[in-house]
Amino acid sequence: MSLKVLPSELPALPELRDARDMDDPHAGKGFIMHSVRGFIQEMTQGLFAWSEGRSLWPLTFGIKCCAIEMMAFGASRYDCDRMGVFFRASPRQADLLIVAGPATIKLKDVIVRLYEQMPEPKHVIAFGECAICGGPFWDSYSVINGVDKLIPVDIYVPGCPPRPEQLLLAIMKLQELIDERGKAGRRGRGKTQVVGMPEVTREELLAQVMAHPTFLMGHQSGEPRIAPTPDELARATPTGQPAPDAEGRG
Amino acid sequence: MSEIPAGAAAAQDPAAILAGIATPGKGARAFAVDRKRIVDACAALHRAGFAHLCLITGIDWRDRWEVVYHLVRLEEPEPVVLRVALPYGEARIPSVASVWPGAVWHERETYDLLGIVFEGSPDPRRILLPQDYEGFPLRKEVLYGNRS
Amino acid sequence: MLDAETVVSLDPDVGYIHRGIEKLAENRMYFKFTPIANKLDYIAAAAWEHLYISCVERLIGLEPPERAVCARMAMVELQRVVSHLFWLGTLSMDLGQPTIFVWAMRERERLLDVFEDIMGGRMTYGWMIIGGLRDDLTPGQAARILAELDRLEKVLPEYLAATERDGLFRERLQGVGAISARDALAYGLTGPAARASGVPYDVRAHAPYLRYTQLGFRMVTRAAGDCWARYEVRRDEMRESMRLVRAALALMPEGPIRAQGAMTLRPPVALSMATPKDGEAFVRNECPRGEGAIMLVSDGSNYPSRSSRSCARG
Repeated sequence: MSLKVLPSELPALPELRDARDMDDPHAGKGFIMHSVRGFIQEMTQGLFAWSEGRSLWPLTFGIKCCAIEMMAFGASRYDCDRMGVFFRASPRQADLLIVAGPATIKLKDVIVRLYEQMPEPKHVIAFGECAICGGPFWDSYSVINGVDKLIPVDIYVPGCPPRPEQLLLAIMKLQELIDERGKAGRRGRGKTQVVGMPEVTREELLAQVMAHPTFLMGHQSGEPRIAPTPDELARATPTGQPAPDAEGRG
Repeated sequence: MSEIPAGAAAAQDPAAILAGIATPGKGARAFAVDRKRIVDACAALHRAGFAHLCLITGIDWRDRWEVVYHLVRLEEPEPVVLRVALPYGEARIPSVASVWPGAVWHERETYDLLGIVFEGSPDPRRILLPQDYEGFPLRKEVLYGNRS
Repeated sequence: MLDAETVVSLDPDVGYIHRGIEKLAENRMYFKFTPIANKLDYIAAAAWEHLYISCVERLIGLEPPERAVCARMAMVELQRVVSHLFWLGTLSMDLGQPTIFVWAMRERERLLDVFEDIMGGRMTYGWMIIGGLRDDLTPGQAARILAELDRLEKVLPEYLAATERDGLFRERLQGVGAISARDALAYGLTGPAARASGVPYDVRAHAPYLRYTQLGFRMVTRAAGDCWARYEVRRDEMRESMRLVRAALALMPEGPIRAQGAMTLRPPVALSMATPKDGEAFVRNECPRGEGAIMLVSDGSNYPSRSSRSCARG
């Protein structure tokens, strides 16, 4: 009996159209119009980027426990509204998707559809371990290990659940990212950042984690493991812990 | 309050209620029921005041299936446990949705995760996994692990 | 299915946050599953953590010491207060009254600070271990809980009065969504919603655990079964829970917080049906949102053979 596997049906990331990587649609439309438009754009793009960052409107899309911390971020102690963050119920009116919780297999179409329904420019924050990598459910049949397998992510916020202050920091980092892109003139996708870990990119962080055979949760080797065999039970010490086997597992 | 089925036989012992329908199992309130009599057993207990169905679940023992019902009567703290053993090749059992409409979701979940079919259920669909999901992940033959 | 503005029929589609927890439980050692047990109901994590831990303790026949039991009871009831505050906030938000949401969340934040101090996390913990507690509840922390409860008991009536005075709340909650007691039982509704329909079912009174009998737990029921009755039940349960927290802290004796053999991992084996049921445990708790039940089946190893849970379907 085989489980239906998912990844072959998921769109690979480069296929998702990212309008920010497209060429300027007004190119070649006429020298004077182009240069006037270019001049105005150059004067205002910093301003537009600044205002975009200071009025990020997330979609009310909380999945699980992290959603509660996202709500706490919207409540009075942390108050997202002072940063211009104002939750919107419709993806057509939102420009930020805070994915707060795991992308389950039933939810993957929903997440992708919501992301595609959001108009450009849009951003994604992966909030919490489940959205980054599957979190404590990383080895479940029903959870996709990271929402970045479905949609491009700008900011990763580690934690289970992260504190609302981390979401505040994530918004500030996102504002910096948007400002940078605004200055660069084109809104291309830059290096994604991990919030709370200074000077580390996602690739570096992954490399550091994978270099260690010990994982923080679950099983040491990362391989699927079923119940111990009678041999393992027989090797168990008096405290009830099975003694490590040859590879150090147990 | 008068709407709660108090049952004329509220004081009756479950063993007496289930005489002839179920055999006593391990523990004072545990009974083994044959698959064909499970609806009779549940109906008899429901008439006697076991108004709350707490849990229907399935267990994969690798050589047989077991469907376990926990029923609660508001007057007593200990639940009655009905256990139905099913042969490994035949994971089918009649549905008790006629006794408790709320059993449907328990049965849907047991079907969804273990593949035990509840015959006569008013809603035989999967509940937690996508409708087009193939396989029953909680079965022991399915090795755990993420495939994505 | 809608007919103009009236909902004619409804087909709930659930499973969007299905995480395969029962399969994960089979592949986690008992003490490693606690963080996931917290996330079964993340709004009331302490209640479900206690449910899971007490189920494992029942399975292996381990009794936690008295101090641990009283401390657990205090935190479980405090969690009920926090969960109901969250309910109050989201109810108001759904009815278009964000003010109460902000106020309720503000009070909740203060209690989350207390949780962070004592249990190590705002929302998900890991404080209860098999056989006791991870860390002790110090007198300073107990005093802090009591101070927070004093404050909450002063301000909560203000918020509730604001809620109940509001015509909007009354109009949208009274007489709306009435469920009869017969329907509640037939559909397996439990918790505050069932008690609001007149079903006198509260696991704390029905099959007491912790120290509810000793502290004289009073069940709250209403007969009307509409949204307003459900509001009243949770409101009054908050008050009862605050009383229980104080009583549990007063009852807490000095002593160890872990039993001998805490974190033991070898439960007895579950054999076939004919033999005594030592290898299986079924525990019910009254979690804030309804009845929670966990059934653990063991085959003598460090990993559960089957872990089944019943979420409050109400």
